[in-house]
This record gives sequence, C-alpha cells and structure tokens, in this order.
Amino acid sequence: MLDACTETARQARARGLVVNVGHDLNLRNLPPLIARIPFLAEASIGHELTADALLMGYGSAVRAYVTALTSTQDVGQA
Amino acid sequence: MARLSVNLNKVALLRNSRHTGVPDLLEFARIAIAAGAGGITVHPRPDERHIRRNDVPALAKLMQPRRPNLELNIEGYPDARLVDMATEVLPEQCTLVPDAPAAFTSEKGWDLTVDQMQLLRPVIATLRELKSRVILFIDPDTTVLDRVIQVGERASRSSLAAMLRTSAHDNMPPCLTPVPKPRGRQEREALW
Repeated sequence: MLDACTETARQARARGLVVNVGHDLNLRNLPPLIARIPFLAEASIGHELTADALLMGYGSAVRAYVTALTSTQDVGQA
Repeated sequence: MARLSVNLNKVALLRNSRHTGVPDLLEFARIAIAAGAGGITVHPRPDERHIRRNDVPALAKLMQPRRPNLELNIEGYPDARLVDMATEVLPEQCTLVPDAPAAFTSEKGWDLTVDQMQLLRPVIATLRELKSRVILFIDPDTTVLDRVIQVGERASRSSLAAMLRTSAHDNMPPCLTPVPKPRGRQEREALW
C-alpha cells in the first residue's frame, strides 16, 4: 500500500495535481507516509484521531497529528 | 508541510446517540483549530447518521473569521444535495467520493468510468464556479490519473486534485459490504 501510494502521489504531482490523503491514517502509519510523500497537501483524519482523543484528550490528539504531519525526521523505509 | 483537516464525523456520531446536543460539535471544532488544525472536514451523508446538514453552515460561520486560510472541506457524493450545501457555505474544498448513499464508509475510490465522468463533469464545473478546490477520492492506482486530468480538463490543475485512499480494504467488494470485517490495531498498523 505504501509503495502504491508513493508512486501514485509522485505521478499525480508530476501531472500538476495537488495530492491529499485520507482513510485509516493514524500516528503510526503517518510518519512513513510523510517521509515517502513529503509534498502532500493535506491529510483529513477523523476516526483514528477521535479514538486517540479518548486517551489523550482532543486538543492533545490534534496536536500529535499536526506534529506527525509536519515532522520531517527520517523514519527510514517502512 | 501537509495540512491536517480534522474530520468531525465521529464527534457528531457520539452526539447523535442522544438528543441532548452533547458533545457540542462547535466546541470540538474550536479545540481542533486552537490545536493547530488547518481545516475542518465534514462528510454529511444522506442519512445524517453523523454530520447533519444544518451542522455545515454552523461550522462555516464559526470558521469564517479565519477562512480561507482555515479551510472547510465538504466530502460527499456529487449530487444536488452536496451542490446545494456548497453553494450555501462556499467551502474552500470539496472532496467527491463515489459512495452509494447507504455506504458504511468510503471503501473505494473513483474508477472514472464513462458513466462516472458524466456524473462528475457538471458538478466539478459548478464547484469551480464557487471557487472550491475539487478533490477526487481515488485508490492509489496510477492508471486512474490520466482520467482525473481528463474529467477536469477545463479545471486548472491547482483546483482539481486527487485524494489517495490509504486504507486497505482491497479484498472487499466495493460499497456492498455494510460492515467491514473488524481489523485489529496491529493489522491496521501493518498497512505498510
């Protein structure tokens, strides 16, 4: 799935398209996705963020996802 | 850097399990914005099981002072109902999904068959007139990209975009299975 997303995103960008992502994204699978597709414009996230918010609080969960999306640290090849 | 658009559907789902208005959707939108969200996403399905139609103008009003930098994103099937909502609140972005009205969740992206392209063309044209960026929800499949360009041929590239479906429901018949097989956290984490 990561390889397919990466290649499709790369080719979409080459065609001048903005690339967004969504569905089943969470704090564990976002970092490798961001590392492979650093030019993503947007991730829309609801279910997993809300589930995390039950444990972390809503504001903390949103901040954790913002951090995951804006982090540029190299997480290696998943 | 990628923008986080917080989807409030699950907060609305909890609210709708009682008739007290608790939790207050607008309060959660305020928290999300204060915590750094760059946008708010709503997917008002026809059965209103989570976001209701009247939530959309209320959220748009709440967000108004910070728009358009703070983006309202309406997801939905491209029908007259979605166009009416978009005309009312002028969202910065509309994400079009091919879900049947009773779909459990968005399990499949656009294939952009001839029929789907005929369905999409007038809606894309209308949304462009409203200055909304149009996003087509597609599977991570490079063969669809040429048809994404084709269906929006008179759209500037920046106003037409692709949203990649990042879930792994590949073994499910599209839009036919009302309840997906439960997947454990370990399985979800192992998507890649």
